[in-house]
Amino acid sequence: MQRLQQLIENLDTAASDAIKVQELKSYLSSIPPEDAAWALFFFENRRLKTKTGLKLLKEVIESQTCFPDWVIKACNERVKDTPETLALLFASKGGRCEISLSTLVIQFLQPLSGFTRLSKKETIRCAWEMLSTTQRVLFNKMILGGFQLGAQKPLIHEALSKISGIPRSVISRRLIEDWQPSATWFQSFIEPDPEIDTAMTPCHFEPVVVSEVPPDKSDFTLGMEAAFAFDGARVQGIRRREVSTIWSEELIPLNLCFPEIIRSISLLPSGTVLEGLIVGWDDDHPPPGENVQKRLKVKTATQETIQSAPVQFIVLDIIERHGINLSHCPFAQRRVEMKQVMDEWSHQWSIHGNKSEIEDVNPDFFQQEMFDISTVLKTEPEKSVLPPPMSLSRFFKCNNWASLEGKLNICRDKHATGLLCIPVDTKDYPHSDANKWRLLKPASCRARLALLSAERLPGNQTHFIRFTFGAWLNDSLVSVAVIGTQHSKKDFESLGEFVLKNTLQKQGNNCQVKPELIYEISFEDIQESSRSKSGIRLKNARLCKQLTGTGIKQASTVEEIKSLI
Amino acid sequence: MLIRPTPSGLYCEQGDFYIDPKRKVNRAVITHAHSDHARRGSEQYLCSRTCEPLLRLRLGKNISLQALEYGISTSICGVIISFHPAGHILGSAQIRVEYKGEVWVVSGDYKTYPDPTCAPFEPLRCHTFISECTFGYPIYRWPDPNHEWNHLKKWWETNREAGVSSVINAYSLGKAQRVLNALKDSEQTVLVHSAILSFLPFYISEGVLFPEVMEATPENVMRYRDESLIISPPSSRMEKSLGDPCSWQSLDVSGWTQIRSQKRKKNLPNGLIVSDHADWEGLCQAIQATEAEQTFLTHGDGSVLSRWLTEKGLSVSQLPENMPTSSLYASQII
Repeated sequence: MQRLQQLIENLDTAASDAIKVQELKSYLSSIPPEDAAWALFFFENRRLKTKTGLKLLKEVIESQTCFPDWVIKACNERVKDTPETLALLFASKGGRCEISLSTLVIQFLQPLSGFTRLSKKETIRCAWEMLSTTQRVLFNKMILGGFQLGAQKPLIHEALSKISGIPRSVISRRLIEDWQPSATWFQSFIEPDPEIDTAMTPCHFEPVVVSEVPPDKSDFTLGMEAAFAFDGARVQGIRRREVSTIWSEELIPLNLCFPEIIRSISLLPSGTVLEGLIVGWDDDHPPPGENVQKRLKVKTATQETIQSAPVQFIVLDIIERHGINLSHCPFAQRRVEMKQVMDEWSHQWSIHGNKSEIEDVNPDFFQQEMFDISTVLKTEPEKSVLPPPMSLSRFFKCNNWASLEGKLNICRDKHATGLLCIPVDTKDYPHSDANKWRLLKPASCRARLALLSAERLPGNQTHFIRFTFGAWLNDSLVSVAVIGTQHSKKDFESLGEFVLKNTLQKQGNNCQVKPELIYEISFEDIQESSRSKSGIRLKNARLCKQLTGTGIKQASTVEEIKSLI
Repeated sequence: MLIRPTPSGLYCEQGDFYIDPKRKVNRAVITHAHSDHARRGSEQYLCSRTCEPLLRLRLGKNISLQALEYGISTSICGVIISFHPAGHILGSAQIRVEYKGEVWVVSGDYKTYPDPTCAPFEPLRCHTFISECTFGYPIYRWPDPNHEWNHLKKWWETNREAGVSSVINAYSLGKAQRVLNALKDSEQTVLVHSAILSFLPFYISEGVLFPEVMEATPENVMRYRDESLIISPPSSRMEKSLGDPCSWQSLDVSGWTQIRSQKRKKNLPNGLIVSDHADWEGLCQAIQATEAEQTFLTHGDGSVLSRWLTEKGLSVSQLPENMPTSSLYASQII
């Protein structure tokens, strides 16, 4: 526990991700494998079934300290972290405890579920007595959940990758499987298995070339296939050696977030890698982008989550078939292969997969021009009304710019973020981007917004990572847009300098500034936002130029912005 | 009502003096030399004998100042005043005010833990006690300072072995000297910020032991940064001048570092939980030890402490920011 405490303290103050990875590597490789296994269990936010809740922990505090509930509540308002509040309220001065993590789990945590209420309280009291305050915080979080390590999962996986020599993506994939922490498990976990590891590894995500608006039309003069792009997650669905995986572009396995899509992928022929977008869907237009975000936030999607936030895997490309990489083939060929695979799959789905768990959906939605439902499934309506969670995107052949422009102009009506285009044949486009997808976006709107606040990089007083801009609503400025890291260093530095000189108030990493600086901001769309007083959030907001000589009163109003879309 | 809060600070009408005034006044009675208690501009100052040189350094050599030994009293317009150790920093004092048999004690800042750099807190019996409550929540309980000092020594040694600079952020008066005293047996030189250095002679003259120290000039820092500990006030954030964040480690010495979630939110480095203020237990014990009929809490959120002690049968309430004479008398009569 002492090493774990040390790790937490070091991670809290680590100045960079590289240091965090180094700390994690040093920790996980220096402790016994059984401790590493349990550490990983908690780092992955898994929870033991202790059948012990907050109420019981509060009762231990009340019996040990005589502090009534109002004291605990008042303290928690100050600390803003219940496990920590309870750890601090416990009156023991506790030293740094020498007990190992696995011993703590085996002796104190695992038995809790079989204990009576009284025994549970006594066990927790004994553990608290023995542990230091920081260790008590960790112990409480092991019981109550919410274990915050101070390092994100990719960093933990990177550290494990460095220890084992296994690619990070494979580490992430291995960790989503069902496993029980033990020394044997950890040792086999960090042991490479080339065959399975290769089967799990995603293909390279070829970057999508975002074409500026207005685009260079000469790039779009010859045969193009185009499809509407929607808010969602770019993924690869992989079926190899009886293993199915969904990978995000950030190389995070998403199997547990989208179990219904995994079920679909498992019906693909082995040696298939499909690429596409996971988008939200509903029986009403438009496809709700927030569904995907909701699903990405859950650790494991339950049936309830699947029903409340339904999603679709829209297949746009095929990267591998029969284990052969097709990424260098012209799209025309890939299109044919993709169609064949999806036909095979739809046949399999009609036999094995079409077991409805969701009802009352409107299949008409998919028969609109977004998804080519006809290529997917020809099931009898009386068997099920459930559209499959995977479908081939509808493609449009565009032989000239005018036809592309026509589609581009209806993007907003379709609630699409843009058009994804790819040349049909690479010989028409001899340059290096010939075989790459391009994203064409509709012309953006512009508004005059005032800088309201900035968020500092944790651990750095002068480097800012996000700037919030606002517009007028009645007589006050309310936030409508957040500008992230997509801008050049120079843009951010000049904004940062302004923030440093004009900070009114600091709260944590957030600096509120004098609303004096006006920028012209471009944006693609408006989203509803319950978190902002304005009720809206500008999508893909970008800095255009600083408007010098423009008074704060000249900033746009929320109503003006709404009228632009 | 012997002492009442006013916009200028705690005021004793009978003696016509202010305790730790916030503005310029004629007569200022000072509990200790921290800048939020000792301010420039008053006509006359009164403080403890050990506080005198610190106060002159902070407020100017030529201020009109009278100093009293702990426990020795003086009379102003019939009001008897004496200073008693508060255990906060060198020269810190509780101020005992007596008028016609009624005794009030203003604690100033205090701590009940032993601290070799100043005289220990002395509980005083009184009718009314005005206590600080900076850490008036039971989440604040200080660990044994020796445990923290051992941690500091180990941390410094580990950093030295790794070739990493060690920076301690500690208030220039009080905390920095406690850190230095804890390292008195160190064979390594300690680099200290000039703001800290200027107070050291007064501590040495009171018999406080320190290791060998050197001013943390840019040249010295660059030359000795890998072996020496660097102590600087939190506001200077000296570690930022050391360049690559991988080449240094820093620790804050403060009670505020006890809460991890706050530390993360406020972006603070790790810390040694060493405070010059009383923790929850210290506050409860000190208030009970006065056997006061009435206790007022100031300097901090006293809502939990006052309710807790009131439920235990004591009369404890938060001192209002400002109270006209008439309403204080009225509240006393009620």
